[in-house]
Amino acid sequence: MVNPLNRENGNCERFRELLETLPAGDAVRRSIEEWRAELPEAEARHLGNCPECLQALEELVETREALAGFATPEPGPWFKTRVMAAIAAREREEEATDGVWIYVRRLAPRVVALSTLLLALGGSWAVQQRSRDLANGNGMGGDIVFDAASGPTLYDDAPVSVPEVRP
Amino acid sequence: MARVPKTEDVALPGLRKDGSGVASSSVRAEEDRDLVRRAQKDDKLAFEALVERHQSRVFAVAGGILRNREDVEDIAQQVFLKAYFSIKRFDQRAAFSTWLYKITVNECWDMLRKRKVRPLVVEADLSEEQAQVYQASSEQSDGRPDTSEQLAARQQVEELMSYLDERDRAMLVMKEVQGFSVEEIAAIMEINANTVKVRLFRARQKITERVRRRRGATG
Repeated sequence: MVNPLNRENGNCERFRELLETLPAGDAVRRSIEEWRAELPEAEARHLGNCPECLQALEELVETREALAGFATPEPGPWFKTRVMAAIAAREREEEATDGVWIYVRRLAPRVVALSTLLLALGGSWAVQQRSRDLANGNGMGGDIVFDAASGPTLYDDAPVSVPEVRP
Repeated sequence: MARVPKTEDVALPGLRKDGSGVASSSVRAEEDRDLVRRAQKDDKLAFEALVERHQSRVFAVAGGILRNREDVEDIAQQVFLKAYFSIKRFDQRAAFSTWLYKITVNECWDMLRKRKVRPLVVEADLSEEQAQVYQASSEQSDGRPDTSEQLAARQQVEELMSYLDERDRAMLVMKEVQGFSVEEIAAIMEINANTVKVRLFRARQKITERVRRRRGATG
């Protein structure tokens, strides 16, 4: 940006600072000469001696000219109403959600108590059932997983008389 | 070209001697602070006043990043909704306007990230039908029909801007079209003021180069 070999670096920095404060969005387009005429004396004098700063000013002016056709969208007349309506709708929605949560929170202890009761009843029923099964099975409780099937044992090497088949 | 009413006037050392701009901006800032305090106590009218005061600039900031009018309007609404529901957490250490424009910029980046589309629609890239829809939406925006000259000028601007990086483009529009100061842009974009200056300088160089090249090509 700033040439380090330039003896007027301090002035260049001051000038660039000033350049950034030139108001944008003026209705009237200004040429470089018009801008120069409005500059404080020291900056105007510096501009005459510094081609880099002159170039920076030219770039600024040309950019602003080029951007003059930029269309900024503007809010419609009903925008504020739309925003306030959206806020009201969101608040209603949140109130409704809060309402459900309040209901859930109020019911929560009862739901917990009921679940505990059901769990206790279910558990005791399961224990009773188990005891009854043990009693019915004469102390041989539990399912027999590997229950050997009773039946005739066949041995391949047993001497068994085989009826001869004759043609 | 639509000009955006400024919430704070730009003070120009050496060119403006009365300092009235600074005074009016501090009055506005004080009024904002008061309205924010009231809005934090659930005063809807105060928030409505804040919307009224800042809607144009929120549109302008979003318009510098997004070019589709519907997107800009949706984002602006989203920004004010977000501001309303988080205003109680806003501690007023920064100006309300800076906070609001920061939300705007972030919402725009979020939208672009989600959509992964080009933020600027260059009308030259549009079909005839799309261009008509685009034109109709801009006519609707200011109530005045676009002349073909205005449309051509806008087309040129958007073509030029398409050579810039998204952030540089947003900064340049905020600075050179909407009149934000370097410090304001730095606060909104959450970057150093010197970085803003350097990026603006380079963006202007690029634009000028393009303009000159175009001028050279047309003779």
